[in-house]
Amino acid sequence: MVGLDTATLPRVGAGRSRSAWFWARASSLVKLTVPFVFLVAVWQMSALVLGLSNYLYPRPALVLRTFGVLVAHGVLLSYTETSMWRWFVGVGVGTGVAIPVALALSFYRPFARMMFPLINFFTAIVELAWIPLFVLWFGYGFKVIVLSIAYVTFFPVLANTMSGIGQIPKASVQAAQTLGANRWQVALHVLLPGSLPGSVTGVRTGAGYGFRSLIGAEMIAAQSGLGYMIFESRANQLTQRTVAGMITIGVLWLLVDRLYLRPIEKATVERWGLLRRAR
Amino acid sequence: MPVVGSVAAKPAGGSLEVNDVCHEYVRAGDKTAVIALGPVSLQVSAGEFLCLLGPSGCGKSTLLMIIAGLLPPTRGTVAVDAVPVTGPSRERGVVFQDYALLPWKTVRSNVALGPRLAGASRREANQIADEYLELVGMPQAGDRYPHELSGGMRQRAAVARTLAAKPKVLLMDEPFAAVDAQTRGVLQEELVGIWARTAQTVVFVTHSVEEAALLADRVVVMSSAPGRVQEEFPVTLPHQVRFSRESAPRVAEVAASLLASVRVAQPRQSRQVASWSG
Amino acid sequence: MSSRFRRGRAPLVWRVCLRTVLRPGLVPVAVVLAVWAVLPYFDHLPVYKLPHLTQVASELWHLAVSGTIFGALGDSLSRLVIAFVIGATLGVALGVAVALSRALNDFLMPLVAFFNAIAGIAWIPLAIVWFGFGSGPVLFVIANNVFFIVLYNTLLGAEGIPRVMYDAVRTLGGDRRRTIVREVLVPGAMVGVLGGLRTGLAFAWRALVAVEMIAASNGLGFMSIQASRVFDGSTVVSVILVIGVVWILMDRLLLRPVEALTVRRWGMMGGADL
Repeated sequence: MVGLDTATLPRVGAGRSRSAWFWARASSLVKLTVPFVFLVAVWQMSALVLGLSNYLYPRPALVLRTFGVLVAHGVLLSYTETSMWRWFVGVGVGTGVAIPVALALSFYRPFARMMFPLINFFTAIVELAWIPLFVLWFGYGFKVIVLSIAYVTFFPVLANTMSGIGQIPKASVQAAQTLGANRWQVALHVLLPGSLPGSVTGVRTGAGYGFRSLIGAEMIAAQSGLGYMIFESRANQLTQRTVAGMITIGVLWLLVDRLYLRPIEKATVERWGLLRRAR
Repeated sequence: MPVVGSVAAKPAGGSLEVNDVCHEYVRAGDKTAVIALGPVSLQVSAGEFLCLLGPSGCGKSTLLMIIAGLLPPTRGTVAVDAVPVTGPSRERGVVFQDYALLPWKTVRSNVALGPRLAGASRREANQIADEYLELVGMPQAGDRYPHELSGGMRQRAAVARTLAAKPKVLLMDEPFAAVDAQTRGVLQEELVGIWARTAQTVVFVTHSVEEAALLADRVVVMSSAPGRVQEEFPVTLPHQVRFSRESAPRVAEVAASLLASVRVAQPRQSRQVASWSG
Repeated sequence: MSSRFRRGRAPLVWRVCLRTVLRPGLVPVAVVLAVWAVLPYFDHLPVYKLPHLTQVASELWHLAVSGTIFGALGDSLSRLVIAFVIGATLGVALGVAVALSRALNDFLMPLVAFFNAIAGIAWIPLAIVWFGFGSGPVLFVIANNVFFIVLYNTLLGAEGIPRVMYDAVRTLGGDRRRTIVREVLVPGAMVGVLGGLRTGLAFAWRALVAVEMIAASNGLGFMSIQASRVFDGSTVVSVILVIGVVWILMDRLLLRPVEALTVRRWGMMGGADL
């Protein structure tokens, strides 16, 4: 534990050596790996102790082999591709609709207040509840899934964009106005960039909802994709494929979230956060 | 302000002894040990008001945390009334710079926490809390939550909370750094009033020479990297007159000599550091 | 409009009623309903794709009178409550226990994050393998989902407590572990816990609908997917409306009051929501 004052001590060796950097990286990697090694060990041990069949409780080794099979046959990759594409399009459509709507609503606040109850009501309807209706409209497949993802992405993006715009200091708008900006220029130069941190947070939340929705929708209304795979494998008594699929889903989401969504959010919010704090 | 019975009946503060205390930490980068503080030795007699003054990063807050028992010293010992300190306890109350009031408790419950933890019943504790809230001049604020108060009021509440635990030594870590100048002046004067009435031993950390000159019986100026005692200044001006207009030049004189000492204490490279942190 | 009310001619009861009924927010709702009502006269969508407003209304009336909808709702809600309580209790308890130990916390956090990432719904197939069709998989999936969300958020909440809060209580004489838990850890983690409960309930509600569609033989989700299979659009839309209304009621009657009494009162929660 570092004392309170030590944080402000002048740093003598500011440029840290390369090996120190390496060791810091390595130790954090170990810290991340050990729990999972432990998890697999517990999984293996419990399988031995419980003595259940592979149908009920597939062994780690079998799941690993199944991974190999699924990858070798190209199934895993192609289903992952299918799923991610659906998810990407769904999140894109949801965001693409939500941001202009949010800007428009922020522009006409009284109108926005009027719309809130309706928006609230639609937010309250679980996107998966729409699936039976979407199926009646479009049959199984791409459209149903994309629509349900877009639906569930739309609301957090809308809400967060609007709250982002709400947090823009009035002085920024006034400053633009005193510089001679008209309504639209204010929207373009102040509101739109000012709403960005909110939007990004919203997209990250919405993308998370969308990912869960993707898996659910694929189980109910698709003939391909990871959700379909884990569900169908169960029917075929190939539980190891279900587990392999679940792990893929978890890893995929962590990768997308940690490698793309979180850094983007952090970069935007931090960059604009400075601006906001200066209020 | 009326003096409430149990407040005045409080026993006088304890004496504090700091012997050759050092604090080292391991730098994250190259894993080398850095001496941040010490060795430092201090004697504070019962009822004394001591200011620890120094440039940012001189380890004065670290020293305070060590005295509080929140940070174990690498070497050396701390003792209150000749009993060695082994960890945090209510005999050394701390007023933190950022108040550290518990946001989920009302002001009264915050102040009552010390007595409650000492085993008082809820009613007794609340009664004690109200007395101390009155002592710090906010008798009406008991039912409010900390976030509803201004910075100055929060700091008053924090002082009341610490005093209500009846510590032998009161440790204050730049408590008025976060409030505006005008409120700070009021709080300083009130603190001296409370100190005079409760005969409390106080160790007060500050980076402001004016503050040290206004408050202290004795000022210990610390040098930085590593933090050591550079010089000691007894302040002989009586406390009752320090806040008066007539004494302003004399307080300023004390402050000026303190400033000269701090200047020497401040190493070249950190003189450019404009901000400090607690 | 409001100025007319302010004159105070009409009796108070009337004024209150009118003010509740004539909310500006209801205008868009009315517009949507009106469009829905007149749409069939302009568009020739098959009825099973977009049932008429009147059909849905009569279907809802029928479902309500026969008690069918309440039966399904009861099935769904009882599952939700049981699973939610199990998951949330275990999540908070384990969360607080783990948060007490820095090392344990650091060790478990990646695992919890990982299980949190395996969308709750993805457990459905495995749950069916383990429990067969029926209530079993529904309960398991929801409890599991709620458990990890609440656990994760409890840990995040505990991590977010400033160190100085612990220091403050320790210097006031709180040296026992139980004191620290009661005075700092539990209330301090409350922001996270409540956020977790809220998110958990939302996800549980969504998972409930999904699992019932896939693995149950009663409840709202089952009712809806079954109706879809026989091209009964009015029932599908009725269930959608019921799902929306029930969530709003849960939010207003349960989540918001709890928040208002705790973290909002403590000034620990900022941010606007719609």
